[in-house]
Amino acid sequence: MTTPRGENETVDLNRFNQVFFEECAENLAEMEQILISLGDREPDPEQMNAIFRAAHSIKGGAGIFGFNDMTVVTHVMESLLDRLRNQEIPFAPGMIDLFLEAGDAIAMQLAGHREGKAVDQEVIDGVRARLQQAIDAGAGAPAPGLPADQEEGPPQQEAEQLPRRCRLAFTPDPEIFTRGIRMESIVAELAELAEPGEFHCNAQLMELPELAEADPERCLTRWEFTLLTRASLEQILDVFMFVADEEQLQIEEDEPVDRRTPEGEPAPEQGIVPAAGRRVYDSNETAPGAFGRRGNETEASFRVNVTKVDQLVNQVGELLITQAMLSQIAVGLDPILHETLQRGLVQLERNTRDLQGSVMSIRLVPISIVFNRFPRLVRDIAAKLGKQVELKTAGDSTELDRGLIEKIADPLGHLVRNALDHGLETPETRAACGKSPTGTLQLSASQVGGRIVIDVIDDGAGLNRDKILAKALECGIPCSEAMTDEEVWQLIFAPGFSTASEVTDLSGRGVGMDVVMKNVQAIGGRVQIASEAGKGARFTISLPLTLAILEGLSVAVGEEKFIIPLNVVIESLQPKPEQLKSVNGRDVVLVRGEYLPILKLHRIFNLEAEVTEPQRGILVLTEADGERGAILVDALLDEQQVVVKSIETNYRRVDGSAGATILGDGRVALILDLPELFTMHKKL
Amino acid sequence: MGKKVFVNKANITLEGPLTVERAKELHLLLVERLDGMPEQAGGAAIDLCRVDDIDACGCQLLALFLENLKRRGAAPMLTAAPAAVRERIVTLGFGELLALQPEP
Repeated sequence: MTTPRGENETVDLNRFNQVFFEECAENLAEMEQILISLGDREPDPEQMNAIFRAAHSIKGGAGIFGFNDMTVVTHVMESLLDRLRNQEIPFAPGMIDLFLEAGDAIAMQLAGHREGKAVDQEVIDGVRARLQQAIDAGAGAPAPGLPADQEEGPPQQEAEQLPRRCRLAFTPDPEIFTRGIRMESIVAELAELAEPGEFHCNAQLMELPELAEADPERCLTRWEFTLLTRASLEQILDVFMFVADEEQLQIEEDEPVDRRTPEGEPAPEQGIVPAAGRRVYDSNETAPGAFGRRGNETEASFRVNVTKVDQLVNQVGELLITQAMLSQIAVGLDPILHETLQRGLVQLERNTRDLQGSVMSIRLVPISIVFNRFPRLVRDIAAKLGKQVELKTAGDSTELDRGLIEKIADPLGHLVRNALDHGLETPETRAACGKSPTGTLQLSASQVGGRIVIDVIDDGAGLNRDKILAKALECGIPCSEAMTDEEVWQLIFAPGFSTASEVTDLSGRGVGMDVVMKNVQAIGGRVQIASEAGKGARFTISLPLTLAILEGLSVAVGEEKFIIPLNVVIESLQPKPEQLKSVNGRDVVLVRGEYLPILKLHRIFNLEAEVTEPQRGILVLTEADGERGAILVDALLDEQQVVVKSIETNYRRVDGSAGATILGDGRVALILDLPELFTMHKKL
Repeated sequence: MGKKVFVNKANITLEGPLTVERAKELHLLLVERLDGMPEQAGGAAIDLCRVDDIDACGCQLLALFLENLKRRGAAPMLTAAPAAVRERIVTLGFGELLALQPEP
């Protein structure tokens, strides 16, 4: 019989599970990164220890949180790694692949718990069996790097690490029981580190309240452990990684028990070591050691729930609106009579902008989060295709909005797969063309103005103009020989377009590039292509720095207000009659020798406007994605920062808009998407 | 609601898992049993033969119950704990607090 937990408790548990999931994903990523960097080389002791620690942490956390299935693969993997690092069995190049597969299996289990995805038990069993085989096969082989006379003796490391007695006092967080942490797993893990028969655990009650007054779910127990162990302090601390912080765990270590030490020497002093533990479940998230920080990270960073950051961004957004509203009111006030107020408002504006900058920077994360996924992808695909590829990355520390990071990963992955599948040639073909047999794929990121630019560059064959045109014709996509190269390259973004003569499971499925474009456009980005036959291709994704707030020019059309992103505005003007012309029935304006199309917002959005003729209104000259146009508006209202709200979430998609915002007077204004407006204008 | 009256005031039989999921329910039950205990109760046997699982939270609750019984002059004793439950109590370090007698 069980009593269902209250909703709050379930939420709490999920929250703490979430911390484990994130830690687990980080450990998997760290492990993969090291493994990939190795190629087929044997890891050095430091790398081996890092891989071991990652596997061990996953196993420990999984056990503590009750995800027992995740301990199965990690346990065997840990055993293999332990034997390898102790040089009990020799390293074999195939082990890197095996560890990568094991990482994949654990990731699958993680996704099963985290997102409810299906877990293929056969895969798990297969990996576990192969890891065990590697242990069994290695057990019979001679230990590497050891002189013959040492092969029978104890491992070097073990011989050096003499057992010592450790006493631990653990005073857990009072909420430990309701956080789904299994004390029995912690105890069992700690016992594993002890020499046989040398582990003792004793629980003590710190308080003895009247039973009726006690909170049965609150932990009143303190544990004391005594063990004789060869484990390092780090290994011991790892056991408490998810549960204890430095105040909650005290470790007292004796000097190692070394029977070879000459008698009569002074007894070694005992030292109390404050545990540099990690506190995942701390109510004070800013406390040192809180939320899974590692050693040198203690003061550098801490985890914050994304919802909290989003809430903060929204609140700053509301503050910006209020500030804009106050500024609007102040415009009508006598500057002499209200000098102090005006000064205060200027100060408020400055502070609000600083606050906004600081808050937005919290949302920024380095693009390396995405780039780090690709070494593995490139390695696997290159091996599958029989190609030799060197992956280079640049600008890994370039920061962009967290929301964008999540959304750019898939399109970028597709471009990488595409470059490997279609762009880079086989070693033979490359050699025949006088190129190095190893192709280069470069991912680079940089901040250019208010945008982030990500390049995917390969030194492969480049795009084939004739093949693309022929395929476009075959697919019924409008095209002609007269098209420029740039226009031809854009054809590959048409739905259903693929020039791959063979459909592969990598990128030649006829879907993808259109999805890439759609996904990038959905986050306010653009994709440009440059290609040179035989030399390679460059796909450039340009993204806004953030999706949350933008500088905009508010304009009026009839009763409606629109926001034009300031980064596309060149200038505004009241055209003279001689500047206005009609070309092919379309209104254009002549500006410094260039004819620009006039986009009439009232026509595009079907509104009643006060001004319908360009000579009576104002033209805002804009440039986006290399295209220029003049937007006809009734009046320019203000230049302001606006908080971008999703119109699709709150209403429905409106063509020609990149979102909406709430203005100082509480009204909703559409934020214009210029490239889309240019396209809509051409179709009118 | 009237106070429950337990016919057998000295022997208490617990059943099912003694784990954090049932902590509140078990707490209520044990408080009721404690209230129902006569002053200077003497021996009180807590029969664990029907307990199939226990965790640190359950051990702590039992330990608190035992301490409260002692305050009332009782001499509580855990009896008939299945091997797995006994092993878990020892593993978690509650062997002494719960006065777990060595296995016969």
